[in-house]
Amino acid sequence: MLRSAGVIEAGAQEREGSVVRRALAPSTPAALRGAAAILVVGTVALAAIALDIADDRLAAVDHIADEATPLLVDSESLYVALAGADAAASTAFLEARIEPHGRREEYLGSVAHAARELADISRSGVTVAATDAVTTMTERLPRYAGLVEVARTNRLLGHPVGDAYQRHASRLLRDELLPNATTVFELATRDVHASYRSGTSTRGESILLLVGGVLVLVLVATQVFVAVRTRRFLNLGLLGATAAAVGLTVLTTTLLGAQRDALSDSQRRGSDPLVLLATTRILVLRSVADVNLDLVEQGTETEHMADFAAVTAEIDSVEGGLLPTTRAIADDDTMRTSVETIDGRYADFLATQERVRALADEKDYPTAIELATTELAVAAAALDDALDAATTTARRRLEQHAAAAEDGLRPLPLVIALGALLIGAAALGGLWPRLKEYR
Amino acid sequence: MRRTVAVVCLVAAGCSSSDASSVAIDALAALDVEVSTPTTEATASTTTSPDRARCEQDGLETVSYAPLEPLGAPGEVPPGSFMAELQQRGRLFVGVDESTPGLAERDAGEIVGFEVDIAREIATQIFGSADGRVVTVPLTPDEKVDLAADGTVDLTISAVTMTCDRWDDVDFSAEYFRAHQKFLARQDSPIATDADLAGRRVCVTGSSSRRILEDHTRAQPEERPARTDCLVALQEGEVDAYFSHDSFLFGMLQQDPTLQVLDLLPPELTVTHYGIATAKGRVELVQFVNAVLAELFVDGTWSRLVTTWLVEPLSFPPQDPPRWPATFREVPA
Repeated sequence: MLRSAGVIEAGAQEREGSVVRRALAPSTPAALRGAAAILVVGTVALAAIALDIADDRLAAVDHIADEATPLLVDSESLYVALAGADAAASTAFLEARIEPHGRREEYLGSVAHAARELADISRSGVTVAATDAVTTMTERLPRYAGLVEVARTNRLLGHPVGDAYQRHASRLLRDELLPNATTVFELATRDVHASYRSGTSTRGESILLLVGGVLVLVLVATQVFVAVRTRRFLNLGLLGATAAAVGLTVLTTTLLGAQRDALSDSQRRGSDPLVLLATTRILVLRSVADVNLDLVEQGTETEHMADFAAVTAEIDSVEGGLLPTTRAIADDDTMRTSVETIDGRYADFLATQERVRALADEKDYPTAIELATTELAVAAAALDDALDAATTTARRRLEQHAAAAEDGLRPLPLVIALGALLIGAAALGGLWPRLKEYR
Repeated sequence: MRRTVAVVCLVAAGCSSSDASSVAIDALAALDVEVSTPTTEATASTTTSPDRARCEQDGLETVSYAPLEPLGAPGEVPPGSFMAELQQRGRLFVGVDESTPGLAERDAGEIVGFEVDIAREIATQIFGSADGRVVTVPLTPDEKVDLAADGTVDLTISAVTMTCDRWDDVDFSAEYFRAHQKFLARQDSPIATDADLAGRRVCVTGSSSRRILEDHTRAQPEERPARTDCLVALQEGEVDAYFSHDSFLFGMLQQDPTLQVLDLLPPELTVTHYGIATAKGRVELVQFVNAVLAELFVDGTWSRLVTTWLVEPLSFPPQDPPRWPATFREVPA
């Protein structure tokens, strides 16, 4: 009957601890409500992050397809048009006073094409850095065309001053128009590169996997809690929510990965060769102009052939030249064949140019000019055609793979929204009956 | 190095390098660096040689070497001479202008004119015929002495004014044509006297014209590389007048009838004696050329060429063949 004082005090302390524990530990319904709130917040966070990543990727793909690539192609086309106009005008300078048939149409067509490309580039919302270049070209192109017209009129009248006007026009084009066209092309190239980096980054998938993994852990922890507190080991709602969370995370990550692969293909098989070939085409046109100008000035200006040598090195050098690089990245028979064709025609062009050079070194300028305006012009045109065809193929591939990337991303927002709803509904559906039991 | 790294990365699988864009941008950037070109050493002397001092003191700029005597039949040249070397080579390289109507201009791909025909007469005497023997090399005004001095061309026949400082760099033939420097301006120009030139922008292409302008007027000279560049500058309103030889200016009137030639300075200041320039040390060639010129003066060919190329088409004032000084330069030992 009688208990020791120590036993009585221990019992009182135990009862006091139990009260404290009951006061601090949440009740089961409170815990369940807390878990529901955490799961809802977690699901919303997963959905928001996934949507944000999908949106960024879609923006990058759209930018590549609808803005960056068209600007790249337009700026290359602008350079080709300007260089073509000057080639037509300066070739007429080398030829007889009587304008060869078709030369006038060639020149006018090139100038009109250049004007259209400038208008397209202006409308496309170029960057601030490119605006100055576009503005300069828009202002100076009419001046160039005016000088060429005066040159032509004087030439038709047999006035030697026409040649001076042609020299002035060519100088304006080389010193003001073409460098600005190159600037826009360079900026477009950098923009394409930056867009691909953004669109193929793996950072988004990493974040998604992390957030999805945390949500799944929380769902599993909730199921364990519910099983312990309610002694019901199988909660279909929470199980379903867990499966939906795993499924949404894996599906979204897979779709993003597929988009990244498609975009990488677009870059590797489309954008990379496009940039290299477009740059090659620009430099080939520059070297043609160098040869023409050297003949016009009959070797008294050494800068033109020095530039020709520098340009040839950039195109052809084994150590990182544009054509060897293009050859190295060609990964299918079509592109390899295209590059082989270009290589062959470039070799023809260089061989013909060497014959022109040999005649010029002998000061046999009439024969050199005859060769330059016939065989060399034909070789240059054939090379330009091959570059144009290969560039068109590369662009088509870029667009195909970019479209595939875009198609893969399109359903993603809906998938994410539905997946999030499913997770939320299943989780709440699993917790609600348990909560009702405590009413 | 960076380009090589980029290329390696492009080829290797799974590499996320700076890629094709960098290769392309580097190629363009490399060409933006100004390509260094070999510069030809300036051949103009900067110190006054004893010969030049004497030349200037005694007015010897138009004194050349005595003509070769006798001048053989066309195709006959002294054996072992420079002319024999030219015969061996088969061609005569002649520096000319290509945009001066009357003197030398491009027509249907060929350069033709009074000075080209002088070259053809010299070639005929060397080779027996000029057909296919004369290679005309177009020069800008600032090249005509240098390219003769360094032997790039055998002769420069391009309105080269005989001056004492140029005798340091080249040898000249005897005078083959005489011009006067005048002004080309718009017909509505306010310039009517030399006083009106004060503060006006006047285009020049050569040092002799610039010197006259700076020493005797208050005009502001503006240089251009070629004669037609000055005409363009005048037509575009970049300059108010063009000061140069009347042998050029009359040809420009033909190209633009809205212009006029103004004679604003005394003739003794503006007289310009043309000589055929060749590299130093070819005295026998100079004597040969002088002999040809003398023949052309005597047999009427010179007068016929002046009439054909200058008087009739351009209304250039008729002139007689230049009178040479009574003495000749001493042949160096």
